[in-house]
Amino acid sequence: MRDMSGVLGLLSPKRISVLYLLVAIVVAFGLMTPDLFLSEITFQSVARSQAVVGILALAVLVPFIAGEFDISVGANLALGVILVAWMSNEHPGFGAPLMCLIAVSVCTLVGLLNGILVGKVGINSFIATLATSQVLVAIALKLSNNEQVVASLPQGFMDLGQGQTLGVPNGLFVTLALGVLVWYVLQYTKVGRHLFASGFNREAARLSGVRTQRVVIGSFIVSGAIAGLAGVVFIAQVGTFSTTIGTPFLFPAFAAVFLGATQFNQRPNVWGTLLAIFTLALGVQGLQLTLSESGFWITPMFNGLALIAAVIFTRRQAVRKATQIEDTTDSGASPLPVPAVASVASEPEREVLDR
Amino acid sequence: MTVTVTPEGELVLSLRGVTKSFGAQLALDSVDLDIRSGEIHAVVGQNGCGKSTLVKLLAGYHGPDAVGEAVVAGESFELGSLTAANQAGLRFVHQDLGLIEDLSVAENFFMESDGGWAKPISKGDERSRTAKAVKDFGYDIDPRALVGSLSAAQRTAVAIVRALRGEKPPSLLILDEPTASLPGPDAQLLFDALRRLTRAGGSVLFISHHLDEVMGLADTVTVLRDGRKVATASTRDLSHDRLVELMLGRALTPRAQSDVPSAKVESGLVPRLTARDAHGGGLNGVDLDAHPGEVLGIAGLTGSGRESIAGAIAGQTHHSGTVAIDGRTIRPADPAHSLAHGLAYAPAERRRDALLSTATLRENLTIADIRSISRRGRVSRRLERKDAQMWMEKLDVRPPMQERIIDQFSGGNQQKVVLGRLLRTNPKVLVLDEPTQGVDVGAKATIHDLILGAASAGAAVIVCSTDVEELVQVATRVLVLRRGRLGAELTGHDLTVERIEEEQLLAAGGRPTNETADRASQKDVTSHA
Repeated sequence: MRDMSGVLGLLSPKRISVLYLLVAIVVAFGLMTPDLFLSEITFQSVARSQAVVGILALAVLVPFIAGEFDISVGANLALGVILVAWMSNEHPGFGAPLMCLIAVSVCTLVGLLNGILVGKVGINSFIATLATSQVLVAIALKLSNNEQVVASLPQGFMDLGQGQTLGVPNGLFVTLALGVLVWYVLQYTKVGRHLFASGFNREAARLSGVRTQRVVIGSFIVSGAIAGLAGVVFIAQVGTFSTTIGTPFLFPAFAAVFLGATQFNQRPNVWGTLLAIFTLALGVQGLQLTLSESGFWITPMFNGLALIAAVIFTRRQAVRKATQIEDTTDSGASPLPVPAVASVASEPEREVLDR
Repeated sequence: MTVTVTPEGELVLSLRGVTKSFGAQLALDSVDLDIRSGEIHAVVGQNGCGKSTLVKLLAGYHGPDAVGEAVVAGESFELGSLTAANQAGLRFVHQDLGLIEDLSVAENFFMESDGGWAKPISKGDERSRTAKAVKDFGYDIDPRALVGSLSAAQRTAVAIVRALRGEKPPSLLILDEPTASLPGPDAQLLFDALRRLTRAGGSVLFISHHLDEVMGLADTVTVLRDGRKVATASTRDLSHDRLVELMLGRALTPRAQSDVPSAKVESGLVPRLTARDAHGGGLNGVDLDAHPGEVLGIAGLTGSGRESIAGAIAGQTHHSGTVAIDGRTIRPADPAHSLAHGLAYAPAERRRDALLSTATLRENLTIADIRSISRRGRVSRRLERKDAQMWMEKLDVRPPMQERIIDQFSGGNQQKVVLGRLLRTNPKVLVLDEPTQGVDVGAKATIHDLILGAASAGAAVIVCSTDVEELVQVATRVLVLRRGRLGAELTGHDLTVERIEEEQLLAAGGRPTNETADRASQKDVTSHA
């Protein structure tokens, strides 16, 4: 397709609709509340708060490409946070780097567990990770004693997490670096090809020599590790564990992956996902600033509606494509359903788009 | 059995001059059919002879072009109407059985509720009625068991009993190839139950291509060929060979007694692929060897094991037996391992098992071998595009657009890409299951050229196909499977369309000469039963 339409195709609204939406949001809210919305504080706070969501979305993205859902990433993030917070109080001698390493390792093991449940035992990934997420929530509650836990981390670590470089919050650098890494693996390595192939058609991939079971288990391990990293970035930014963290990040992360999958090459991808996250966040921010009352309810509302709108938009694209294909098949008046004819004709030729 | 079949028994179904065409193709040409009460009447014929069209007309799925007369149980009957078929008491069991595997036997029985949606359902009542009906048919099946947990034979029985139940007793039970997947003893149990049914006055129309079953079960056979009725005869007056001759429309080729089938060990050559003792999926102990440079064809009717042997060799499915390439045993059910050792496989179900439907042609082509387009672990887009371009030319893919989604190509081009995907790996053994199914003529020729090219480049190619002409065109040697075993090996002068068709239809184990005796003794047993 790209062969034909070239650059124009790349700019067509259906491939970068979120980018257009982003521009529309910036222009609209910029006109309505220029001094509030177009301020550095707005962009700073969005970038800071969404850095963690962006990392978590990448944790969702990797198994999603292989055709699996990991909905335990929110709880896994919370586990990473409480582990660091708990260690900083109970074992302050570990030092921040070791604590982070331990937290990420434990979260990676959780990913391995998910991978085994899905890839080896064969449980539906939605069910398996829903179940493990509850176990993780329980562990986090136990470690925190159902209370807010303030981490006692070294000041240097907190400065790093809360600081900024060249006007950009440090957390965002982690998101972008990880994004580049995941993008490279997906785009330029055999592993990336195998991930996509496993998601497109598991059996076809397996028969083409892809070790699909390993791919699935591996994708959950990576997902767990990235969720742990998101937890580390979170505690570095906030310094506190509270019992409500984790789950609120889950929906924006998934919504961004779904939305992102409608962008660019119209399959799950890194930059579409990250673009969707910041677009949604700016939209929410803009609405909250515009409304004079407190807009605590705006985030879920905006995220939910945006996701539905995006999915409907892409479905209409798909339907239009399908009807175009149907038009080119034989238009000869055949009152009989196709399978009936096919069973009689010795070699059915009911191929779509024969040229 | 002769007791119940009175020659002048009352006619249950009588058709005269039934004609049906699809476009230019005449599927049924003025066919007559008489089925008497209390008989099991088989309709046989090769693929495309019109037997399935006949069933579909009776079921009301198609309307006929012309019909002279249609009478069911003495009353005129509107052929081609679903309601008429229902009211006349025609009951159908189709090959797929139409059962829901996740529901219990009783739930499958009472799918259409008798009393409307609001009437409360008594599970206990449903179960006891189901259990009784199944028991009356001669089977002992727990009505609470999920259909998915039953054996193939039990499922078939459940489907038949369900078809038989109803307010009115059925006038005719129509079985459309119900035993395509039943192993011998199970089929026998089912046949015994059917005989009890006819002895009680029921009538059965039985569609099958397993001639030994037809000879063992049916009282009367009607042979269709190219949409015409060729003969109706009592099975007592027919031999298996004679039946085959009627179906094919010519005399059988005389065979030397000595050509015992053996696919093993050819004079001194080391086989590239050896498969030993393949069991499972309808296979009942098949050995085969394939040599470098040869195209080995595998033929067989549906149910003979032909449809599962390719997947068994290539490790798509679990099966018992061993497969070795150049003497090295391949890990079973591990396609990645097989591919790494040079065995490439194209499954029959292209859409389900081979295509990455929403990926591009390029990605479909390169997936089995990413390494050759990578440099230091990085996939090079430039190399990949060049490689894809080269293969599109070699495969003659039209239009040659590598970034296009594979779904938007014709079946022929898709199949060429699947073949190209395998050929890119330089396979030592190429296993192709139905390589040209649903493919246009031009693509078929290209695919045949590619198969021959791979063989002349030194690969051992195995082609499993229902297309007998295709096997004769590309294969140097053809194995014919019957009932999960090797039935015949054809090479040289014997490798003809006619011979393959005959061999497919022959009785499972026995030589043609013993056939009549076999059948006589079988009949003997059944009349005592």
